[in-house]
Amino acid sequence: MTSLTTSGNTLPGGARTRHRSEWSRAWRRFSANRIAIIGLIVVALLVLIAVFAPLIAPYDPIKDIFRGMRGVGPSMAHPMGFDHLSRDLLSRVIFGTRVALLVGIFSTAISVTVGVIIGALAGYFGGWVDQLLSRLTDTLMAFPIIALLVVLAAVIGPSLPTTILVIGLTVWARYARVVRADVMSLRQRDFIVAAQATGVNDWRIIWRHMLPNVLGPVIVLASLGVGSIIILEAALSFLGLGVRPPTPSWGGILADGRAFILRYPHISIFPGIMIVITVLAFNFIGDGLRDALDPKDSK
Amino acid sequence: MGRYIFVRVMQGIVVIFLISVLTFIIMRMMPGDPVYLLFGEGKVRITEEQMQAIRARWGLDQPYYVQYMVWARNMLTGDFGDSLIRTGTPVRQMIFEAIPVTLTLNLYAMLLALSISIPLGIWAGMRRNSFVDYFASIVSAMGIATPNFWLGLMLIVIFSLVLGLLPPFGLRSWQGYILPVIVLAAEQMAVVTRVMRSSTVEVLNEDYVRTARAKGLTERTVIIRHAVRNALLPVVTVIGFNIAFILSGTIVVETVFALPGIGRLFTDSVFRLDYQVVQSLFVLLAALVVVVNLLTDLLYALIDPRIRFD
Repeated sequence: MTSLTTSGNTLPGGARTRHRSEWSRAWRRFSANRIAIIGLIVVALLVLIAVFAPLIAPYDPIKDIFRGMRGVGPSMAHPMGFDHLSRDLLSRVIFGTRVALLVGIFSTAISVTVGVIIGALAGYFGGWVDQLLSRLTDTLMAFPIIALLVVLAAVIGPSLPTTILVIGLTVWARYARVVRADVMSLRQRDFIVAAQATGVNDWRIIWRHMLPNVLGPVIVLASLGVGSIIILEAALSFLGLGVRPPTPSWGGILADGRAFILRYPHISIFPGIMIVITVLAFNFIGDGLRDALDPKDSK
Repeated sequence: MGRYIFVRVMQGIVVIFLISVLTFIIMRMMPGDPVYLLFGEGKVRITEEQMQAIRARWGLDQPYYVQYMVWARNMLTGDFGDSLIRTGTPVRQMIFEAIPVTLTLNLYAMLLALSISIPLGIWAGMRRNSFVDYFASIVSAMGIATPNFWLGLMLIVIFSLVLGLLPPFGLRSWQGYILPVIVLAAEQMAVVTRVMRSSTVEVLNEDYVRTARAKGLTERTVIIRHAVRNALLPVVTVIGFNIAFILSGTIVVETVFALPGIGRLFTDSVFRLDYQVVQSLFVLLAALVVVVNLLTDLLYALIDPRIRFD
């Protein structure tokens, strides 16, 4: 995405200043939005927690086993208590941030890339290419996403890379639809017709003239998508088909929590709170971006 | 209109065909040979010749496209084969046994969600930036950010463990439905409240609402007769197009509460490598989504006279 903005900035003359001021105006609108800034700060904190997990976590999330502390509830020294295998839950929840953010960010990157490419091809070329790609998109949209993820994860074998790949390759349909519609309407515009008339090749038109113009909605959708992907990852791990134990993930800890819900209810509480906070933060950013990038649509 | 319906139906058929091909490919990629699995993963000793004979009888020695044709024909005639694990039980019977649970669950969840979110959304849309509006937006933001399975676990802790009012798992009595219905409704409520609010805001700015007010109609009549009826339209679409999302919710929630519905049957079958069940449900669920989306499109055109497709 950065490369796209940069390529936009190198446009000659007036286009350059106008372009830059458009983004800086969007940033000003975004930074005036208090809720969006809170979201941004929370996400920054979560990133720090994920990166410095080994320094922040008081204990090792897998190896440190406290004998005789099986399922013991929260205390001063162990604010989240112990899980059913006598491990420190706080440390496990802290390390779980890594899985959530890794999957949230990388799956979103994959799905945006695939969706933008497919949407741009369908919208630009039209005809049978559009028919083929649109039906492919419809097909993907028709599967209840959890069912598709569960089956694909079972086929490939559950692991962190599988989770990232499987989610990334199944949730691109929304991006494809948005990009296709925008590219189709752009195709009629004078500056595209002019580019075509002067013999600019198709790929260059898509890359240099169309994509910068559809970037706004894609960025908004992507930032709102991270939250739902984090929930999907948690659901997949909860069902036992995401990240494998003993690697700590929020969904995986919740699966342990469900198994012992009537005996050790505290296990289920904290990972869920972390998921809600994380998803809310990303959604706040997404809402803020939507209002900032598309002021006419703001409420 | 006729041409539009024709094109949409044809597209739907193409999508269902692609769904079946995709399902067939994914199922052939699944780990484990079904014949090997059938005989207790090598525990029952059979000779290579017997193995070949069984493969031939099931058509597994045929080329893939022939296998696909046979399989697709069976699916179309409603013959989903027998379960590989509960041997001898037809998959169709297992699905029919599970449908009532899922249907009841979602029907009540939808009723509960609509009866709260529609009035709440209208109220919030009428009084923008009021307390109700903030309340509604906080509730729906929280609802969207809360994973349904976690909400389910928390409800079990509160209502089963602490208060001892409701059963945590299973369906031994009708009370087993209460918590899962609330969980599924919460998810829908968040979405519908948001849509209802913004469509109310939009409709209230329309000329016909101003005209109705200018005529001197009471605010009550303006809202009920003119605004709400139009503001409800997007809700129809949202529910229709969210069917895939609703089915996803069912799969997870039935697993949390151990309810013997379609979702539970699906996840259990994936774990037991019961291919026959998995592939049948996979195709059926996706086909259901296509049909509901198509009906939503057509229903929308029927109830909104402003929309005519050319």
